[in-house]
Amino acid sequence: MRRKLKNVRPIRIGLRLQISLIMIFSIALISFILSVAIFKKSEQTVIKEITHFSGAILKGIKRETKLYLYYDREVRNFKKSGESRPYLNDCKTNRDEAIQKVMQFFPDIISRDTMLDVAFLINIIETDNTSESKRNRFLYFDRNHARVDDAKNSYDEELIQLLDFFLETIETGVNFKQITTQNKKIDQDDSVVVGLPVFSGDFTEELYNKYKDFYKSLTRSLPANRETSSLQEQHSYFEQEFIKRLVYNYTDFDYKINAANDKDYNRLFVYFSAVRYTGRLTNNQREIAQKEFTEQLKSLKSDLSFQNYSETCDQFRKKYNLRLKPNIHNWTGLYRFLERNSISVSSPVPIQELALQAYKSDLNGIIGIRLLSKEFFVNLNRNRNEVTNLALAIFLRFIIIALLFPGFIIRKINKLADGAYEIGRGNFDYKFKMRGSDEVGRLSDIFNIMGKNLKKAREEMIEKNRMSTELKTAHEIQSVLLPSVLPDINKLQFSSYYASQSEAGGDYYDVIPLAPEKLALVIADVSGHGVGSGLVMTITRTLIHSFSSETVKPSTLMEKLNEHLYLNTASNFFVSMFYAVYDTKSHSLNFSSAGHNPALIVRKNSVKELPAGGVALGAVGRESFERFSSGKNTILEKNDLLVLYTDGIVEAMNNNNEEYGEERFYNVLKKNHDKDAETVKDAVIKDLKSFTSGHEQSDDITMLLMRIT
Amino acid sequence: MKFNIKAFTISSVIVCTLPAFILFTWCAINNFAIEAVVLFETIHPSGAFSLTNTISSSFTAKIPGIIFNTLYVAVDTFIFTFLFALLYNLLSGNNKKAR
Repeated sequence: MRRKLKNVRPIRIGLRLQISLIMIFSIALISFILSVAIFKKSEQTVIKEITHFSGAILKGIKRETKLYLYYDREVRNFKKSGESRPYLNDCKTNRDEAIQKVMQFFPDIISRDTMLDVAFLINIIETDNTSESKRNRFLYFDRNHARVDDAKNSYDEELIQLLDFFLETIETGVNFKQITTQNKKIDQDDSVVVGLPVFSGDFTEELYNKYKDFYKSLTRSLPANRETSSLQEQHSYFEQEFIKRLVYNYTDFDYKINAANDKDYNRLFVYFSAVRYTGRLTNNQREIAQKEFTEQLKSLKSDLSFQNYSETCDQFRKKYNLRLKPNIHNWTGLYRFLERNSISVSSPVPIQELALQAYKSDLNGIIGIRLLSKEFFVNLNRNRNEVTNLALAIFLRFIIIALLFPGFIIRKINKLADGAYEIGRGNFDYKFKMRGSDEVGRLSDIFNIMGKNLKKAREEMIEKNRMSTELKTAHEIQSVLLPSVLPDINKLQFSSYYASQSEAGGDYYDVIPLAPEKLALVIADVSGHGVGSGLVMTITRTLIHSFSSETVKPSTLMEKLNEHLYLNTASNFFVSMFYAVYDTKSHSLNFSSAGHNPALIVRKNSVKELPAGGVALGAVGRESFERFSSGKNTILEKNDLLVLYTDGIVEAMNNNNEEYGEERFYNVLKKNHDKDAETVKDAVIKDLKSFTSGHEQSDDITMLLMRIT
Repeated sequence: MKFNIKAFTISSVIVCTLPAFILFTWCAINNFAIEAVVLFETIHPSGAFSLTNTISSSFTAKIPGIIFNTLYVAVDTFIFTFLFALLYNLLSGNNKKAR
């Protein structure tokens, strides 16, 4: 029993049960089908054996039976035939000899094979050619008294009824019927009856035997590519033969005339005008009659039959006052004419029905034989028992195997489920130890890899969270170092923008009041970005606040900063900076640049770059730095806008890897030269964002604006 | 003591099937212990594959019978020993370790 797990559904109809049931049902079905197939095959074998055996006996009797029937008919028709009395005596003698031979034949069979219990019955349909009438006569061979008797004296009414039934199905060959006796009081054993048709003519018998083979080929559904054409030819042959027999036996049936062309229709008119009827027709009359006659036949198209043709002939006979020729049988003559002129005749009636009718017209009777089925079926029953026992023995073993077998698979799956649950609980060190190279073994390897990767991912996630927390803290510290509020000085407007690329940025800007009329403006960019740059920025900011005063020149401040940064920071960190001291009274601006972007003065729709240059702070030693360092001075005017910025603005990239550039930047400044500092800043940032259109920011962006009003 | 079900079953199948196979083969060659084989076949129906009921006396004709009867022994031994070990472990306590 599996233990219950929280939030995991319990197993109700498990895989074990499902697989077991599928296996059991499958084997039960297969056993059943195989058993039934074997039973049926055994039955067919027995039936074939009985049929073959009975057929051999019946064929032996048949010759004598035919002789008996022939002479018996001659005797009975003696008065009609007008033959002489010696002939009658000969017939009687021959008839008695035939029955004697039949009588001798039976004891031979019975003594040869004691298991045979024979009853013999002949069902005769007598055909009188002259009167075209038929009558049924049932004869019964009484082997106890060695004579042929009328069937009404027979004790076996059931046999007679069966033979009557066989008459209706003679086209299928030798007939077989198993009889289970309903009346158990008689204590009669079950039996089988086999019937064999007897024909008066040898030709019919030959045709019948051929047709039996053809019928078997039809019902056996042989491969189409090999046998179809042959079968079609045979079908056509048998159809023609059956029609021929029916026509010559004066059997009225539905026969179709397949007239193919005008020549055939003209021939049909010839038969009407010259063969079938007599009378004088003028040439003109004949021409008109022929045209009308053929057109009427053509209008019937595929419905042209013997019947239609006769009706048409009758109609024209009356119209042209013709007479029917004597001694010409209506349809037989027509058939002969069509045969001679190669006009084919067919019938819409199925071939089986045609065959039955054709045989019946030439059928003398059915010989039936009744056998005890016990002797034949005892082996069959024994075989049945053996097959049943074998099927049951195998089936029972399979049930047990079907119940046990899924356990091997399910146990492995359960182990996998337990392991997966353990991993789900966070135990990533869990190892699946499945052996074998099957699907479950492969799955266990995949689970092991999954556990290992999950563990690694979890460790990375923890590290990332730690780093994120630290960076967040650095960002908070750094944001305090930047001026939260810019000074509010009369006739000066300030505005600033700062966006770091990561949590800790390397840019710095500040406005530091030095004296009542002096203030320092500073913007700096530490090389790189991130935590390291942020730390250097913090140092720089501290140094600036320490060294800056109204008496210290910007160039001197730069030299001091460079010395400290050069000595106290790593060689890969350096700082570009612009530092200026603005006198609010005289509007003079003393400034110095250390490798920073030039500061801009926007004045009346023009942008003026202040001299830049110098070397970045911390990059070189004092002596080298002093060679490049210099202080400069300029006078600002009313409405001038001083713009300090870092390279993050002009080097911002868009999705097409194009830089924002100084030209775009300057254009925005020019366009907004008369606006207040805050508006100019917003315009620049809006244009910049529009340009980058969501492209990832690659550097810190800082801007400080001061407008003199 | 606990049974290792798989090992017990496989070893039992080998131990029983091999002698049975030899016995059936020997019987097919010279009717050795034919009564025992007849007795075996009365409770293990083999239909046309019967070893003792084969019309032909050639050894080749009896090979299917040998195989069929040996399979019977293998399957029956597998079933009985597996069930026996399973039941034994179940009745003797926790069977997880034994598996």
